[in-house]
Amino acid sequence: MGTAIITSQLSKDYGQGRGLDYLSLTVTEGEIFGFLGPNGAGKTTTIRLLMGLIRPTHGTATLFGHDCWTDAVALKHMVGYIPGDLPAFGGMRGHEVINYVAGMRRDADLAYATSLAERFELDLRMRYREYSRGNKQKLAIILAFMHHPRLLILDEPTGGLDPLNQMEFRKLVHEVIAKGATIFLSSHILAEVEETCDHIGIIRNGSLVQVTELDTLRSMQRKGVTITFEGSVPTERLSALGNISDLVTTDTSATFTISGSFSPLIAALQGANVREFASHEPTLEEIFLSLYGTK
Amino acid sequence: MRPWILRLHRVGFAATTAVALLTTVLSTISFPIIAGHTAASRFAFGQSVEISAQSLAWLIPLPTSPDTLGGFLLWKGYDFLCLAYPFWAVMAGAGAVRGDEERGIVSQLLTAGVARTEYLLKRAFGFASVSVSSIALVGLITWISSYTTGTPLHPGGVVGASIALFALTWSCYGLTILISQEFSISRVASGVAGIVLILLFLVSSYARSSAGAAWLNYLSPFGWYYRTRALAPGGIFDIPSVAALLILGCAATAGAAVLYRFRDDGAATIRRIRSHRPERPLTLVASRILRIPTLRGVWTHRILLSIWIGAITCTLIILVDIARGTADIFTTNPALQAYLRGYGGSPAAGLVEVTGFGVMQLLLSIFVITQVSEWSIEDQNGLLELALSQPRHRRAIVIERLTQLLSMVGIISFVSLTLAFLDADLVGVHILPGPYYLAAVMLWPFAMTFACIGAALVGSIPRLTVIILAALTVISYFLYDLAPIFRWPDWIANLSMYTLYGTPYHGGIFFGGLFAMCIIIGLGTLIAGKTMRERSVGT
Repeated sequence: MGTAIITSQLSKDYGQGRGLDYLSLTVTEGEIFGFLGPNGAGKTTTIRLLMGLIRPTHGTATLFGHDCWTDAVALKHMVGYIPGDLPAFGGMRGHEVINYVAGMRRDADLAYATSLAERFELDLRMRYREYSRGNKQKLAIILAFMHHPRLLILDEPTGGLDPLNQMEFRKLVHEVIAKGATIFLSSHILAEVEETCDHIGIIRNGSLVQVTELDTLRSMQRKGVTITFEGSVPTERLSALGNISDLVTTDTSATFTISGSFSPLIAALQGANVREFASHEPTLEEIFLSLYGTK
Repeated sequence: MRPWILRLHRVGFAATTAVALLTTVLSTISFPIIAGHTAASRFAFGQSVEISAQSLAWLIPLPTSPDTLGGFLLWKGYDFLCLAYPFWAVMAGAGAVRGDEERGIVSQLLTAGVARTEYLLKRAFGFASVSVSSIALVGLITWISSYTTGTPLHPGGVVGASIALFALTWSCYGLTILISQEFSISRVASGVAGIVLILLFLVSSYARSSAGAAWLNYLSPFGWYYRTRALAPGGIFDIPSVAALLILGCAATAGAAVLYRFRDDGAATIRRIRSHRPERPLTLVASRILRIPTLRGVWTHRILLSIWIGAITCTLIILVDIARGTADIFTTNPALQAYLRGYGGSPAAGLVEVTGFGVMQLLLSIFVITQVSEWSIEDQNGLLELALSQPRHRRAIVIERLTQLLSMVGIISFVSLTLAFLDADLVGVHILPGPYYLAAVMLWPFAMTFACIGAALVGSIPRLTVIILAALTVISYFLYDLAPIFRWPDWIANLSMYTLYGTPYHGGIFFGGLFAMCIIIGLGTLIAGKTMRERSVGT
């Protein structure tokens, strides 16, 4: 497998501390890379740099070995893009919008675009301004996918879609991945990234916090634990453990989070009458919050 | 009044007040220079103004006492301002009703508990307050500046002219917000309101210029406005017509408020219900037109293009029809004959050149400004980002924009001027086709000069570009108008785009002007290409 995206020390300075700081990441061909971060973290700036819409202050970004700024035109044949803010097509009808964009790029597969419109149940006879937010997003999906791109750069791709269409979108993503495409997906919807992506990168204040496989990230993070006791709760022994936090106890139960090894906890429970022990994997949201701390 | 409502009008206030002040103050201080200081020189000046005013009779009424400062200022200043203030009223009215809906401001206010009627009335009275302030400021400064001439204006006359101007502005605003209830897109609403007001203005022009059509004046707010001649010595302040304008404004505003109560936010008042939604999905077929770069843009603007062609053709046809009647006046008066002698050919054809191509220049420069404004908006609404996400060179986008504009200017000019030419033939105005179409072709470099300046600026200062182009249009007009009066050197007069165009119908190509326009076009295109290549998009 080759590399689809390489950024090296990629930076964009908007002044006043805003922008992107020395981002270096690699996305392998054929994978789905989730790009997570709060508002203003630098996700859209990264995407605009990859799309050659803005010029980096420092560093480079390449897609399939081509520079994103100097080889922008050649690259666009290989890239499909859903922008974060959908363009305003005004009174154009859905089919006119698709034809308009297809006319600009000349490599669109209109039969495939028709099938996508059927699949997402989008009425292409309607005017763009009459579309709901979700329907506009469906049209953006068609525009991004209709030329069978090797790389899809998607900025919040399911915004406004209902759960059924979100599911349809995830199916579509897996279909194009099966055909060898690569996806770079920025999202706030953690469940979407959790269900879709192989690797994730987390960005905060313009800097990359972490890039890892989802499973690895989960294993590194804390787990939620709830223990129900037959007798009294060994609160003092639990409190003394260095790797647990958020301890909440009742007369018969204790709920807390634990990071790292379970061995100290097992040792601390020696002699206690445990009736039920439950531990759950953290959701990505919990991981996200643990990395960022409180908002 | 809420400060934010007033704040929304700050650009309109500044621009319109500046134009109005330039018009009135320059006319005032130039009066003693061009009219002289003796009674005899002013009498002679008045006579020459009356002669030249014949050629503009289609646009503004004949002057009253043009040998006095008040009469001259009324003709040269306030009668032109009745175009500037209604233009502001149209932009502000359509913006208040539809522009703010498109931006989501209205829905935000409605969900915050503001009643629809309350919102509309607040916006209307906000505009009334700001326009009153502007007109009062212009009147005050004009009155003060008249002291420099030695013959100060009568304050009552200034107040009367200002009240009439406000009444006209208010009525135009009311009509605009009423019309805007039916058109859900801001640009369409302002376009339709603008066309309705232009037609009402032309009704007044026609009523003034055609025998037996004077009754039509009662159908036009502009006809009512022109009944007040308070600024001229001995002129009247026509209370019934001013009252009628104010009542029209209030009635239209009330009508708009009633319609607003019955329509959905963001929708037209009369909604077309789809009788049948096809079950079968549409199969996409590649469009050949949309694959051709320049044609693609022209095709997507086909409705706008049709509206512009219709509006310009109507204006030209009215001008041609009026030219015939005006030419008859010229032929019966030796002094007036002399005025058009320099134009050669028939007096009517000479008038068509003066008025027809003058109007074409003005309207095409406005058309170009609207297109440059669209380029600026494309940066904000994501369309430029979309275009650059496709495999297209950045410079190609600049070239496509310019060739598209060139094509649209060509289509508008050719169609409307050809229809005007055919109409001229029908009404017996004999126009020479060769020079006529040469003058039409010269409109291309004229329009592209504005376009290329816009293209060069829009990449780096998108929001200011339209203001700069509008200022350039106004300055060009004043340079064209004032350079002969103040006997400024040619190089200053040639800074005006209108001077660079020349008088190709009777004078042939002004090669110096054409060369200057080509230089501007070339430089503008180069800068536009370079700026587009370097710039960041969507930030």
